[in-house]
Amino acid sequence: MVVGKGGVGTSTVTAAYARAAASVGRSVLVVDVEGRGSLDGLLSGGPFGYEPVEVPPAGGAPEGPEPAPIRACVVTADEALTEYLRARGLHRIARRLLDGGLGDVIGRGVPGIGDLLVLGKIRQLEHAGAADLIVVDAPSSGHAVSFLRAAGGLGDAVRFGPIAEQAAAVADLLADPARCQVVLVTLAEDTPVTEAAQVAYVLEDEVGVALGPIVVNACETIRDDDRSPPAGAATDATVDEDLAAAIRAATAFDLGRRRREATQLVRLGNLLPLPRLLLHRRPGVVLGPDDVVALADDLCVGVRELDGPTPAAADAGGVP
Amino acid sequence: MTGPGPLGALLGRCDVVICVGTGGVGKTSTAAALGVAAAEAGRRVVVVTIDPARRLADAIGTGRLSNSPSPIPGPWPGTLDAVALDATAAFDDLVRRRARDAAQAERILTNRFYRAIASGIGGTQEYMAVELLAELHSSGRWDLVVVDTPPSANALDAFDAPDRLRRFLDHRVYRALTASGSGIGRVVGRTAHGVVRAAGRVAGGEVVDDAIAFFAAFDGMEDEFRRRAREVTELLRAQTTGFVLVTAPRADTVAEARRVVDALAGRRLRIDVIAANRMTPRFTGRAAGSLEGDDPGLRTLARLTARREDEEALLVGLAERAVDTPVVALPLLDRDVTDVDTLAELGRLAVAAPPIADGHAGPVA
Repeated sequence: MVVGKGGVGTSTVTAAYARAAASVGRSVLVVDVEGRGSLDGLLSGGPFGYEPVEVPPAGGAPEGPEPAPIRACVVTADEALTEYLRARGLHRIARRLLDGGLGDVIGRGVPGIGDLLVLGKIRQLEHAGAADLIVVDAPSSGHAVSFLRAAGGLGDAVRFGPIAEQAAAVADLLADPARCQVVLVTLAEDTPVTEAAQVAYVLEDEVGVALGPIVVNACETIRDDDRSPPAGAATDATVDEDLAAAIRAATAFDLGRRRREATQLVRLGNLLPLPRLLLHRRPGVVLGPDDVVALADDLCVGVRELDGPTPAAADAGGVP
Repeated sequence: MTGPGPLGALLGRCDVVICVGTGGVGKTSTAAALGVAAAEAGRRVVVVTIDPARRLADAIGTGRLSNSPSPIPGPWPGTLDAVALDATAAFDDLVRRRARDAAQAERILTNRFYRAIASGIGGTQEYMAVELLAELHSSGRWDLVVVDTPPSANALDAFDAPDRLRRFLDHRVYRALTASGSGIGRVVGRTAHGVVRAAGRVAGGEVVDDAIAFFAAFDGMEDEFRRRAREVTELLRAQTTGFVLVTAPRADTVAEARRVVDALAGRRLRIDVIAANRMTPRFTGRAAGSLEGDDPGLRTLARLTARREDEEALLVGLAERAVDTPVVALPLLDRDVTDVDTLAELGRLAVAAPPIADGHAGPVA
């Protein structure tokens, strides 16, 4: 489950995770639970729907082993509810009821039920062995906590019946670190770091789901060779005074951002002692499949560094 | 004294300003900055924030949730108060005020179904934000109410909240549930009956019983809720209510802003100003492509200028879509917005920001 506050790049990280896992031989199913098409520009082969479809391999595939297949689908509450009703012999009226506002009433009247049905569908996909790894682009973190809490909350409120069973099955999935982990995504900025720490503790203590490594997206500086030159570095003698002033202002701004980024990374480490994976900020403001491939590389490098000096390709083989 | 930009003009002519937008764009700090700017212009302002980040909340003195405004002292000629919405407590208050008697209030407040609704799921926060706004506005204590809206995935939720509540109360399923709970044995329409049965199949009989008990307890209060929702809708549509769509120079938030602009075209609500927050500053009037050379400082300037150009290109697309709506750029500051001085600086930049036109996002910063 990839979880982050709005704007930190959760969908981008979801897509990069999928590419990274596929590159080491694990088949992947990407699940979008909001149906806003946020993965469409990041993974080729979209727009995606309820039925999983194949995502073509990334263009300009690097040398190395053939990546495992990636599929992607969208599971929204309405679709999960339709399938749920169909499975209970209500398929003929399901669509009519939904059009007549049942989804709205059940969704608003029994809070969390939509989330639970979505999680139930994900659990069913997991149970059916839909892929080696399912990567879920979870709702933005305000909603993510209630999304993941839905099972526990409804399990307490409803003690019998199909919903109770569904809630129990989902709760089992969330509580088992071998089956499910949350990857938190954040930025090296004040508010996102604070919120990531808050969400982390709520998820661990109240939802009881295990946390994987935290992903810090859009970093300017990851390694020494990313560093920008110090402010006041010698400028070309041919530039005019206006340009020299612009260079000074830009360099000071850049340095200030990098300093704050470094401070926030230290703060994040203090607030949240989790292993972390740093991703470079990509140039450009509209990211596409090529950016995802580059970020998947960042993830693979980061994972190897977390694993320490053991041979990098250790877990590449074996899995189809 | 407000500046010449569209946001400054809006603050001058409105008595309600509502900031909408997706999460993560700095909506709360923009709302607070606009509040400070209006207080600096001599107005009596109250800012309603929702779930402010803690350091910002500390800065504006709303570290603890409370639905009564508290003053923020500052060197401005006007006054500034702030309140952080506690939607659950506000909803409880509302039920207490509107209930016939304490017993009805108690029946509702202890109902499990009600607790689940009131704890913020299903648009409650959005509704309570506009409800609180209407209350503060009608109190006459302030000349300007600035409202931050919840960080919903859908920026339109705040507009729709009152109508949605009304639709819900008018919905035949709601009426069927109320009727079947009242025990009068009224004939329930067949579809509605089917819906109730299906709801029981899906959610379990217990949930439906809770829901029916809730609706029964609610009986008699819905007229008042309906009337209020209508009033709030009228306030949202008033000429003196301004909407600021806060966005950030990222593809996803700009796409959402575009959806909002399109969706509003079909409604009787309009966005007055689009504020693009956290733009990379522009350091030079030159194009990034002309900044070539090996000098490291020049390369930094070229990289930041290219980023600014990409951001502007995104916004120009948005500005073309939102024909009559000015788009202004607010720069990313060189520090985090966590104190009143920084809010004041952001506010001054906001009221003075000129509209982006013909592909140029304001002057050199």
